[in-house]
Amino acid sequence: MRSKAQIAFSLLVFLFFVLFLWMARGWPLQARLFPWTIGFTMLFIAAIRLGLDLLGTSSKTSRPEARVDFQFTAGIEVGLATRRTVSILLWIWGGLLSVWLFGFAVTIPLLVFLYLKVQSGESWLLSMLLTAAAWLMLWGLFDKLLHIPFHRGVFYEWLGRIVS
Amino acid sequence: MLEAFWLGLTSVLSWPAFGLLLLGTFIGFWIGLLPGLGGLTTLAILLPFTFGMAPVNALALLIAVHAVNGTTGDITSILFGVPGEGSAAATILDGHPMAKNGEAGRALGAALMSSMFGAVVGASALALSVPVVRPLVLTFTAAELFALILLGLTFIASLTGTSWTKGLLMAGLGLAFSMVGMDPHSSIPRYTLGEPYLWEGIPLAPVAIGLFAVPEIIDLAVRGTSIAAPVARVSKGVMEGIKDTFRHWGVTLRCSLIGTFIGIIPGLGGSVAQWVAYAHAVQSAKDKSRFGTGDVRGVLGPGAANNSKDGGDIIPTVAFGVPGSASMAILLSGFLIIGLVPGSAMLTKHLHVTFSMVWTLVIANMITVAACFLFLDKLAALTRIRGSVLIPFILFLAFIGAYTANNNMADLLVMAIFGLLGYAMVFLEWPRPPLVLGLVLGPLAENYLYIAVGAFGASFLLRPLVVAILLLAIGLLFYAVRQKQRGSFGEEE
Repeated sequence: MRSKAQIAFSLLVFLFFVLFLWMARGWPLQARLFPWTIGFTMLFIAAIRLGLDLLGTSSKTSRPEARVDFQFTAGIEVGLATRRTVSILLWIWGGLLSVWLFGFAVTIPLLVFLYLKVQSGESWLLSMLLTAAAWLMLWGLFDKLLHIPFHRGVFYEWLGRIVS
Repeated sequence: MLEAFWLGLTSVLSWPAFGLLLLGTFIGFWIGLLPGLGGLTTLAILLPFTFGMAPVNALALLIAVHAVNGTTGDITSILFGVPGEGSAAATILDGHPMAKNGEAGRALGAALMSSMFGAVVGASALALSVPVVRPLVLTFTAAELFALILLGLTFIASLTGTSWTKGLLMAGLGLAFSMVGMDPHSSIPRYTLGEPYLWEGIPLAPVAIGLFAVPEIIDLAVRGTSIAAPVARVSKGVMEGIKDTFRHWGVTLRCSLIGTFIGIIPGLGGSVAQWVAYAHAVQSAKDKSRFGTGDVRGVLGPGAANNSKDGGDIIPTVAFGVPGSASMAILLSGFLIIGLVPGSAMLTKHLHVTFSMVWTLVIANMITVAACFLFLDKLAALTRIRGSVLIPFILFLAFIGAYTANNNMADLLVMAIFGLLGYAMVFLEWPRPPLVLGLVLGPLAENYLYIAVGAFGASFLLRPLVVAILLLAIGLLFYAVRQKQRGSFGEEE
C-alpha cells in the first residue's frame, strides 16, 4: 500500500516538473532561465527517484535515527486512523467552504460549536461556553481591536442579488 | 563612546521611555502569540502614535514591540504546531514534538532563554559594529549575496533526512513554488494560472501553517488524546530548558551569530535566519538521532537566531538608511517621523539614541522572559487539555493565521492545499524543511544572480569573496556528505 503510494507521489513530483518546464517554454530567456535550470535538474532527480521506487529499492522503512521530520503516531488501528483522518480533513475543508460561503463571523462559532458538540460529544454547557469564547475573540480582538477585514461570505452577495 | 553607551541606558530607564518600553513589550507579547499577526502589522499600526514623541521614547515603543514579537512567536509553534508567524515555523520541527513528549515547559524555557541570549548577542553586535559595519556592508555586492544564498542552500543537505533524492526534490519543489508570481526582470507572470492573487507569489505564512500545522492537527485527531502526556510538574522542565541554553552554548552562540549576520545583510530576513540556524544545529550535531522527534538543540538554534537577527537588522538601517527587512522599512519611516536621519549622524551626534536601541532590545527581552516564566506552567498546561476540545481552537488559529497573510480567501485555499501536501509528505516520509528553505531562498537567489550577471557578467564567480564563500559552501556540502557516509544519517539508496 505504502510503496504504491510512494510510486504515485514520486510520479506526481516527476509530472509536476514536466509541467513546470513545459509551461516555461514560451517565455523569454530571462524569465525562463532560472525555472529551466532548476526544472531540468529536478526532472533528472525525479526520474531517479521514480526509478528507485519502481525497482522497490527504497520501500523498506527508513531507520528511525535517520529522520529530520516528525512522524505520525504509530500503533493506532489502520481503519480507525483512516476514519479519523478523513473526518478531520472534512472538518478542515468544510470549514474552508463555510468561510467562503458564510464568512468568518458565522463559520468560526459554528465550527467550534459543531466540533465540540457533534464530533467530540462535549456537554451543552462546555460547548456553548467555548463557542462564546471563540466568538468573543474573533469579534473583540480580531474584528473590533485589530480591524482585520474579514471575508463576509459570497452567500450574502448572492442573496442580495436575488432580493434586488 | 562609553559615555553615549551609558547615556543610552539611562535614557531608556527614564520616564516615559521605560513606560513605553513596557507598553511595547506588552503589545508585542500578545501580538506575537497570535498566528499571522507579525511584527510588521504591529509596527505599522503603532507608527502614527509616535508623532511628536522624543526619539528615545518612540524607539523604546517600536523596538520593544519588534523585539518581543519574535520571542513569543515561538510559543504557539511549540504548544500547538501553529507558527505565530512564518519566520517561527522552524521551531515547530523539534519544539512541538517536545511538547508531545511532555516537555513543553522545557521547550518553552529553551526557546525563551535562547531568544534572550540571541537578543543580547544581536544587540552586542549592533553596539560593537558601529566602527566596522560600513566596510563590511559595502563589500557585499549582489555577487557575494548570491554566493551567500548558495551557501544557505547547501544547508539543505543537512535537512534531507532519510533520502538525498527526496530532500533535493523537496528543495527543488520549494524553489519551483518560489518562482510563482510576476518575474521582476521581464514583468511576465510566471506559473500564476491567470490568477492575480498569485502575481505576488505564494505567501509563506499559509504555506507554513498548511505544511506544519495541518498534519499536526490530523495527528492529534487520530490519536484522540491531549497534545502531551500528563507530566508531574512543568516548571522543572522550564529550568531544564534554561540550563539547556547554556549546556549547548556553542549551538546557541553560533546560531545567534548566524542570525546577526543574516540580519545585517539586507533582504535576507527572519525566515532565512531561522531555517539556516536550524539546519546548522542539525549539521553541527554529532548525534542527529533525535532531531525531528524533540531535540532541544532544534529549538535553541532557531530561537537564538530569530532574535539575534533583530540586532543585525537594525545595523544597516541605522548606519546607511538601508532597511534590512520590511519591518525595518517601517522602522525607517519611524525614524523620519521623529526627525532622525539615518547615516553618520546616528553614529556620532545621535550615538546615544543608537545605543538606546541596543538597550531596548536587551531590556524588552529580559522583561518578556522574566514575565513568561511566571506563567509558563499555565501555558504548558494547555498541552494537557483533551485534543477533542483543543482542535476547533487550533483550527480557528490556523484559519486566522493563514488568512491574515493577504486578507484573502485564497490564503485559506493555499493553507488547505499545502495541508494535504504536508500530510502526504509526512505519511510517505518526504522531508518538509527543504521545501520551506527552497521557498524562502528561491526569489533571493534568482534576483541576486540576475543583478550579479548584469553588473559583472560571468566573471562575478571569480570575485575573491565569492570564491571564498563558494569554497566554504563546497566544504560544508562535502562535510554533510561525509557525515552521512559515516552513518550519522541513514540512506536508503
